[in-house]
Amino acid sequence: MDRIKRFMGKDAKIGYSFLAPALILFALLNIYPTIYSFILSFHKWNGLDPHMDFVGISNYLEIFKDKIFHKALLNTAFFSVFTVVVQSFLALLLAVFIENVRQKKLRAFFRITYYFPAIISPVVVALIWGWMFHPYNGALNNILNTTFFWLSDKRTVMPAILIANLWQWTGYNALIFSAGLQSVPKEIYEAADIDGANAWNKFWHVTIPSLKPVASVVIVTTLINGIKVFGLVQVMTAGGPNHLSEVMTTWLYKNAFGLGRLGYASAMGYVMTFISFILTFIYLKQVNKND
Amino acid sequence: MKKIKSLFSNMNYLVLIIGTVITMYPVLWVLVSSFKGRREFAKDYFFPAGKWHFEHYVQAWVDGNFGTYYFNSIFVTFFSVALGILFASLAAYAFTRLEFKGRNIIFYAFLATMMFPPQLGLIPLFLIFKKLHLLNTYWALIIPYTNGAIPVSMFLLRGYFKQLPYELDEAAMVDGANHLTIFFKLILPMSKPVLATTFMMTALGTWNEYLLALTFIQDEALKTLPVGIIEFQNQLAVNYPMLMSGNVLSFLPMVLVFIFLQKYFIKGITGGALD
Repeated sequence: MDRIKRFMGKDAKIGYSFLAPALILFALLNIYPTIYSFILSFHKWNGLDPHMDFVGISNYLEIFKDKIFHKALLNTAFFSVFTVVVQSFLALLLAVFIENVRQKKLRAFFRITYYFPAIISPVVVALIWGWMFHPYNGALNNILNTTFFWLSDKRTVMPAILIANLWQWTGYNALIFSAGLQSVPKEIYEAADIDGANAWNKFWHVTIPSLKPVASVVIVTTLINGIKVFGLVQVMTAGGPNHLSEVMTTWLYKNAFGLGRLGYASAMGYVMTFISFILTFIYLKQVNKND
Repeated sequence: MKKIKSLFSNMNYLVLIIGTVITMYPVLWVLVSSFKGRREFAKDYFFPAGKWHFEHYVQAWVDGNFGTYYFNSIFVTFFSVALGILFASLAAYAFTRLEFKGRNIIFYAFLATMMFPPQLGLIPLFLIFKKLHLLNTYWALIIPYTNGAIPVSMFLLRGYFKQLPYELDEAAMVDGANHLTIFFKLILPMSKPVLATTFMMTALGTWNEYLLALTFIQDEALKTLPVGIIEFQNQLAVNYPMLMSGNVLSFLPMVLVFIFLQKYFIKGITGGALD
């Protein structure tokens, strides 16, 4: 590496020029909108008037009092936390079962099968599960022989969305755990065997600790994706009958493009991002504390 | 002991098979239902009773304008991903083979963008595209999608480039090659596997993207598949099997790609750690 440096020199110039295309897009599509959004959040604007009205922090104050936002926040939190807990657990379990299969080809078959839902667009998943939960002709009601409105009842609408989401991503995360499981060196298990450990001991004291980094990745990405969820909810219920299944992203979208409240929606975007940062930060702190 | 072992192994298979059924059932149900007659759907048997109605697919394709949607999705996805990977690989080369200030910070800054919800920048992007008259053009999607493909690609490619030995670079330099030549004639050709994997992973996300496609494109002729299928569902109300055939048409392309190239998708999330 040093020889390269000495030979070429002028590394920085070339380095930045190689980075230039990515950096330009980054500035245009990440930095600029973030700043503009911040400014917009202190204004009131419907996007059509020639000028915006500066309103200070009143957008943020209004979010604080917005009952629908509260509902959306609760739904988002419920959705994210529940998904993280249930999905991670199921995915890990699934991974263990998959890796227990002896035949390589059979293992590969199961991996492909479980990954499969993840490649379908979330909005198409929403349509499929919308059909599954359809009150009159849906698969679920056909089997149960009833006409329950799963997607309209306040007790079942969020669980229904959760199920669709679990269906889509559990297998995907199971594969990530599979990779984690396979990367545990066999020697550790052998050492545990010598110490007289049984299967449960090995699982609890060798496997689980070794999976901590992988589990961390799975948990954080699932959490972030849970907060960002949009297409699935928007298409399955559009925020549910009367905001019952509203999540932060759908409510933001309604405010921005339905109600023409661009400043308010921008403020909401910031609050949402702030919350997601806090959650991630808290989680990461927890993980590092326990080490 | 052997009995317990085989009991566990049977339970293992049982769980996996139940899981497989749960995974496949919704898709198979939609698929099979799409062949039912229009009025049959109200009955609750799984398979169509009489003949299988393939004409729903033809009707869906024509009425639903799927040809247009397929074309738009392919076009937008291909260009965005190709550009994104090009930019990301240039950056990854810089990160691994060049020394300059801020090398690591910039890399992590790119990764950090994956944490932000797209809604944050959605409104300003919409406004700036509107101002530049880019709304309802392919650029309104290609530009953000290219940007979106970069962080993941950068991550995967940088990891791979790091492992490529420097001796080859040095040998090339002795022969008088500059960095650009090394990049295009040496590094890229050696990176075919990771490029294929990266291509698949980013193409998947781009193909399935909904929020930006919904917000930036109103023109029917330019809509991509996810937006198109929702359009289709909302317009035609009562012929459920036909709606379902539209549904199948919308996930069919990616499923076919997945079946034939699944090793790339799996590699993409497991980094080749699975046997």
